[in-house]
Amino acid sequence: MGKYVISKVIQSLLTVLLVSLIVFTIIEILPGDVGTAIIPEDVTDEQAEIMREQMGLNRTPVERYLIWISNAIRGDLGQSLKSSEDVFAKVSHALGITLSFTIAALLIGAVIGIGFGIIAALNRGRFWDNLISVIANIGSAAPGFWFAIMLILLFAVHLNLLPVQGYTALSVDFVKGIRQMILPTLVLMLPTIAAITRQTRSAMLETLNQEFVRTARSKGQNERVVILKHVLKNALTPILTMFGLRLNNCFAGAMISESIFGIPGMGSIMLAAILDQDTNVMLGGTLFMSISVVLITLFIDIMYGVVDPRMRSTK
Amino acid sequence: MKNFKRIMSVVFARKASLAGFIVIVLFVLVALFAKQLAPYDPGQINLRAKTVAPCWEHPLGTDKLGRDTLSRIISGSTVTLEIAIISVFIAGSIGCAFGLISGYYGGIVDAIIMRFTDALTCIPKMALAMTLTFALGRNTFSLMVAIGLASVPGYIRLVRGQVFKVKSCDYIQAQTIIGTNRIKILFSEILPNCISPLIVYATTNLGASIITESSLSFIGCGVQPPAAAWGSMVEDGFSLIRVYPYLSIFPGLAILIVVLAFNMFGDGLRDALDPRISKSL
Repeated sequence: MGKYVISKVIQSLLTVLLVSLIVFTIIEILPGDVGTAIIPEDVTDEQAEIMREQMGLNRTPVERYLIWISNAIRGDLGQSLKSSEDVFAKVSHALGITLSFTIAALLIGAVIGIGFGIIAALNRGRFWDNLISVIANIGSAAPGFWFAIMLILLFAVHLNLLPVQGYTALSVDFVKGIRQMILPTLVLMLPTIAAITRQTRSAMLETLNQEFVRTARSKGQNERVVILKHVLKNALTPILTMFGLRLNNCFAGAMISESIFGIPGMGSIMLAAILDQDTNVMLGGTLFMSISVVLITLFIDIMYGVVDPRMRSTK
Repeated sequence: MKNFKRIMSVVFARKASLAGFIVIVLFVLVALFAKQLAPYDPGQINLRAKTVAPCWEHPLGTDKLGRDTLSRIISGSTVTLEIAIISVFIAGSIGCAFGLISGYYGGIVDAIIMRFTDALTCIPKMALAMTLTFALGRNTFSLMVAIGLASVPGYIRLVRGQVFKVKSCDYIQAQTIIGTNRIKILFSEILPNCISPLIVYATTNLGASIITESSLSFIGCGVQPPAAAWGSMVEDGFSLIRVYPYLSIFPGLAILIVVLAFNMFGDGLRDALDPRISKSL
């Protein structure tokens, strides 16, 4: 078990390192470099050259990457080129906000999705199955930004139940904060429910045909025990695998809905950073989001090892 | 050809897949003949007829500059289809190439390719696409490349898995033993086995690419105005959502319907091409 965990941790570290390399390379091909974005226009060429030298812009990309990554490991992601804020502080604050409602959407969505999937699988071809399939199909086809606008139209404009936009930290005003979080969480939940429902349904159907289920039933086992203990437990593996991927998709959704709901999270700062060509924030932001996905995947992998001893021996 | 007929008959036996197919055909036709079909010039500003509610003259109304919404949706379909097809083609060919190499050669090559694939999967797709569109310049082509590159990992995994499955089959091993050229085995024996799962994956990926493109256009990183794109039309209407909700509703519905069609058709194709799954569904 220890060996399995260590190999997974090393793999994750390697993934993070590669992520940083990929992101750095993409930023490297951006038109113009950091220098053109921040050196004021009214300096002489000599002064500009000195500034470039000081910022290390005249070094080769490889050297700059090594400097950047060694600083990043020590928690120093540099300063925002626009506002001179510390990138680490800025990005971790924003990530906290984004994660608060992405994780909520992911967990609630998973519970509902698994529930829907079980109901659909057990009523295969009947009314509930069809209804749930329609919901799941629409949920996976509706663009998040449009769904967000429709929710605003319904709950904020017509029913006047929830605020349209804004973000309040829960520690400042709990009720207001929760009310503002409901719609953005719903937006991220819909595709999560859709994907997990479909995955659960097909995993359940596949497991229902297995021999051990037939054995359990022929033993005279209570049907509820069969479904929960034998079928669901075995169907959960492929469902769990989706979690890392779902978090990634939720980030995509979050980046869009943040701009709609005016939430100062990752999406908002990334979009601003891209428009301002603030490469430090872009690098730091992408790195932080990727690390969250890597961590969730690592956690699930380790859980697998705990739950299913077979996983430990396979690569 | 016979096989093709069999597959199509299975697909069309399901109402949902048939409906999806019909919508896709209509969408492609509209995209191809957008210029002829649009009742008005999609870029024609008419300030005397701005934000007209849906009526006979303007079935879906007009926007805040008086441009006909129906015409703009029709004209937007062309760019939507273009970006979706080319981005999927880019993702499919790069993913297929790396998946084949990774699966067939295995060992260290496979390990390197897979680590990079894992890393790419962990980078949020939206952040990757956003950064890439800016790195490559804000135009339709870089949008295609960005969306395509962001969906490469899925193809690599799919093809690699398929190659692993086929590689251990006796007839492939027999080919290797009698000394057939490895490249020839790769293209004439292994690749054909990847085609059907690839087609299924690409069909649903077309829908996903449309969503990514419209999301990027929505936040202003995608198709640039004044060209009509469904995502930016939703964004245009958002500021007037309290008074003229139909400005955002219709272009969004267009995205929903087309993506839904690709997903339903893709589901039908998967069932037809993989009988093992269709039995359990």
